[in-house]
Amino acid sequence: MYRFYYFDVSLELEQDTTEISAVYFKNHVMHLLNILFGEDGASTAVDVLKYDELSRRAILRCPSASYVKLRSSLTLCEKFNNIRCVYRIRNSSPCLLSLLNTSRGYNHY
Amino acid sequence: MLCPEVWNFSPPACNFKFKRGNFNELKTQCIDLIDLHHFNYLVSVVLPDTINVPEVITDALNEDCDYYRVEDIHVSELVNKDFIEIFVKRGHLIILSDGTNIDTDDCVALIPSGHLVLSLNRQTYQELGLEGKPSFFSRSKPNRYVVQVDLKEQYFTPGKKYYNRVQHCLKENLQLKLNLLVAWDPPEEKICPSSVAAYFSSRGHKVLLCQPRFSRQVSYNVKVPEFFLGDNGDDDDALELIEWLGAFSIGADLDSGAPDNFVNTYQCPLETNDVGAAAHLQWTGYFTYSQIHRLFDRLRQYVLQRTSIPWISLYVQGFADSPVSWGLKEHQFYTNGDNNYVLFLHPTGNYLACSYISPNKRPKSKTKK
Repeated sequence: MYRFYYFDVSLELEQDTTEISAVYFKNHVMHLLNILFGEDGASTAVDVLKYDELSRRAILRCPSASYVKLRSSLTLCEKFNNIRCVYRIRNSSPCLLSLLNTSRGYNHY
Repeated sequence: MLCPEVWNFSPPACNFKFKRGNFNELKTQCIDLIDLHHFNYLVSVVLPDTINVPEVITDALNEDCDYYRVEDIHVSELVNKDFIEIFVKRGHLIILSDGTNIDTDDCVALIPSGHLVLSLNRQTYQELGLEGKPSFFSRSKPNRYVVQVDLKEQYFTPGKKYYNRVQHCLKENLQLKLNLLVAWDPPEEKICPSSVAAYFSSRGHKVLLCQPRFSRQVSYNVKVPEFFLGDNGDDDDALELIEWLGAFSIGADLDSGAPDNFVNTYQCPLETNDVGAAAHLQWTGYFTYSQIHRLFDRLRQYVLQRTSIPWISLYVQGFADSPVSWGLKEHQFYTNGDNNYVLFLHPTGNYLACSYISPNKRPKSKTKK
């Protein structure tokens, strides 16, 4: 019934580097899908709905059938341009409104 | 030869429920959606074609919505007879453990119906000694148990066997001290809601006052989807509207999407109208259902006055780690802990309600053991 899954991810690098634009970010995500799932995996329609260059945090959208593939590709990512990195998936949901905020880790006081 | 599955991985199942009706007609009301959802974390309101939002709407969750964080309190304090008589049996009290994860830690919740819900790991449950049920989400290999105690029951009084047993087990067998979020709606206006904080403070616990956080944003040149809120609406169109609402609320790029754009191909599939400005209000904190109901009533009155507005939306997000979602329905955190609902209100009185709960099915392992 639901067509898309949404991710709130941030890219963390071992060393600081020049700014990564949205195009390079998206290119890297497609590259990760290619590594794990080949050309067919890399043909998944992933959209970067929002991207912040400073924090390297993005909201991604993918078809729900590709959710597991995209999540596993992001999890198993090792390097970004030969710099060790990790994708921290802060939240994922089939409802985009859920990514507004998460109560886990919220400091009430 | 058995081959592992390497290609078709199904996503976690999810549960969108839609309801349509007219909020002026009693039989098609959506009040249950609001009144049974006890633990509300985030509230977001979007008002298209609006620049100045009336204070009566912003004040609905800015005033009289203080709540308290009681630190390092033992669970047995919640079955104290004085506490039950003064706060549980009168007014509406909600309590939720703060900083505990529903999938890994022991969690506690108290809902206005008087039920104390303990969601415990297997070891804690076996040490506790009270009767409970295995969690619905780990039925085959239980590693989580849920204990429910009805504090409003007549037989739950000191001197009765059941009360003595519960109190003894919680005091002696449970070495669990938690931080609790507490909010109380008193039965009468002349009673101050801070009485509950004064009670815990008098018992020697540290109590911190917490207030909701509010943000307001007005965006200009916004193209808002048209949506018909009639009885025979399409659920797929409703999902598209909810997706647009989510994209607008998070500040996503709504303009540059195109089929040939490498970064983002998102375009709203519904017809859109340029309404000029749209206001987005957001509150985060710990809200009771009566506070949400108050906001809903004010939005309802406001939308009936604004005949040209396309719709008004109210989105409420529950706590990801609450043991219950609606009423006493058990909740879990799998890939997310969503228990949210969104309401669209139309000036004609029609509404569309959509509730969403996080997946409650775990994929079954297909390999033989």
